[in-house]
Amino acid sequence: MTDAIVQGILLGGLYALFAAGLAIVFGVMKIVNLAHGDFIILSAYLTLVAVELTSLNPMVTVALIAAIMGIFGYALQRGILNFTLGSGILPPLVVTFGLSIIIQNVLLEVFSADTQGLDAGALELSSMSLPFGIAVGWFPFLTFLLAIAVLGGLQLVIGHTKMGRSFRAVSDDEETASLMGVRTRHVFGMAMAIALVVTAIGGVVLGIRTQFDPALGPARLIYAFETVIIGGLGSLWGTLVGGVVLGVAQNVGAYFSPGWRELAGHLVFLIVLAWRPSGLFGRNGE
Amino acid sequence: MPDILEIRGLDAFYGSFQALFETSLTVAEGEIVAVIGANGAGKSTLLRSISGWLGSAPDQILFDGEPIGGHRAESVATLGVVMVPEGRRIFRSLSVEENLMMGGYTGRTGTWDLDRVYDLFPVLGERRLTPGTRLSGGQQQMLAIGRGLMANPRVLLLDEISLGLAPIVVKELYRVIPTLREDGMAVLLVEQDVRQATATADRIYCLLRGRVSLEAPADEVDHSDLIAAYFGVRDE
Repeated sequence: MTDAIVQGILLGGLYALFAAGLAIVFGVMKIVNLAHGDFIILSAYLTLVAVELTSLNPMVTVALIAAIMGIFGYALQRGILNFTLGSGILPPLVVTFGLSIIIQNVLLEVFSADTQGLDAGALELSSMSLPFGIAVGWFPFLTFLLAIAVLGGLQLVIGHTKMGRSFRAVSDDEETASLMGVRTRHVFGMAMAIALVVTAIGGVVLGIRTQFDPALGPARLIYAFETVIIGGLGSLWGTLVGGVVLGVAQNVGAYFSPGWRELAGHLVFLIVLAWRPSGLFGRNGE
Repeated sequence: MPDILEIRGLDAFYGSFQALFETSLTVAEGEIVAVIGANGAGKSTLLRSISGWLGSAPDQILFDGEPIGGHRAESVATLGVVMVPEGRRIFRSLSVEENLMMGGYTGRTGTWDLDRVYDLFPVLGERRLTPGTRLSGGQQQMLAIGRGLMANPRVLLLDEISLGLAPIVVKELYRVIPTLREDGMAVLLVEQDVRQATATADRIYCLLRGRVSLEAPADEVDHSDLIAAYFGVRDE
């Protein structure tokens, strides 16, 4: 049981990586990105290709994959998603839903439905021993640290840079931001780029942790959603807590019966939603 | 002084509703011009058109002799025509200082920076880390003006800065406008309070149902002409 909780906490780091990108896109553009989970899986497949071409350790390719996804994100926002904005929530929903289907089918076409995995070598298998007979894998532990570092970096960018200020200003009041000379369409592009950089990191980690196939995206989207809602919108560190709550719930559920993994996560999510609709760290009234 | 801003026969529309009809107006460098008029006369529409929030034909708005009509708001701001919008529109996720820094987003250089805004409105400096919307109404208006100044504008557009504020606060705000002239900044302000407008401006325009009904130097305005221009009826 203790072991399940510890593993769940570490899994929360990965969920926070999934969720942060979703939260940024919603926070700045008010887009609910239904293709978010597929971007995670796409990143894992890109890593697969990069590893095959370079035979580097997948963790080494993270920077490359993150850069590719970031550029892809900017182009996607400027080229497609910006045109869906301004007439309600439906157009971006429909377009990202379409993107989700396209990505899944392209991956299916190119890579087939076979499950794939990324091999990070010894890093994946080694573990350290903690008191009370708990063994913690180095990789989940490093993932958790990575999540903290990524969230800390995001916090710095959003809280203390000119670009971060423009994200928050545009999120508050797009029209007034334009009076300050802010090019909203560019800011949206940058926000999507940063969101997909974080998402790519999550995707690489996912690919190392577990087997993946082209149909895995939507379930990752649900986890990311649940993490954001549990943590509370508008709070980056909240997504870490949200991820931990979800990860612990899933692992404790699985401890009692493997079939309860997902169910326990969903139940905890529903309980938090009913008890605190704005999430554990959300700003009230928003 | 040459005209820095020239409005030539501006027509402005909200959908099919026409709010301004062939409106013409000039602002010279370093000049303070006030636009007065009743509710719905088209005052705010005029500023929204200049700032780029509302579309217009290119040569209906000239800045430094160049057509800027129909430019996007962000490029108008980058050129140095900066609007302080009606209702203050403070960014609620940003602190006082961050709001001011957003004002400096274009990177236009000049004499205005954080220190100078804090000198002008010391209360903003005292509360610089407070969320912008936590300030009182008058302080928020100071913040909105300070944010506009941070862009080092060549033309500052002020939309109803006295709206909903106590007379003493309004006086405090209007105190700063003549000092802007010393920097060579031109100010185009929209005001409902006729007395405040005539006391501050060099020249006034009165709008009536979308048309200019009066233009005069502020110290030569004839009272009965003004009433006629404002209400559209001559007080016999």
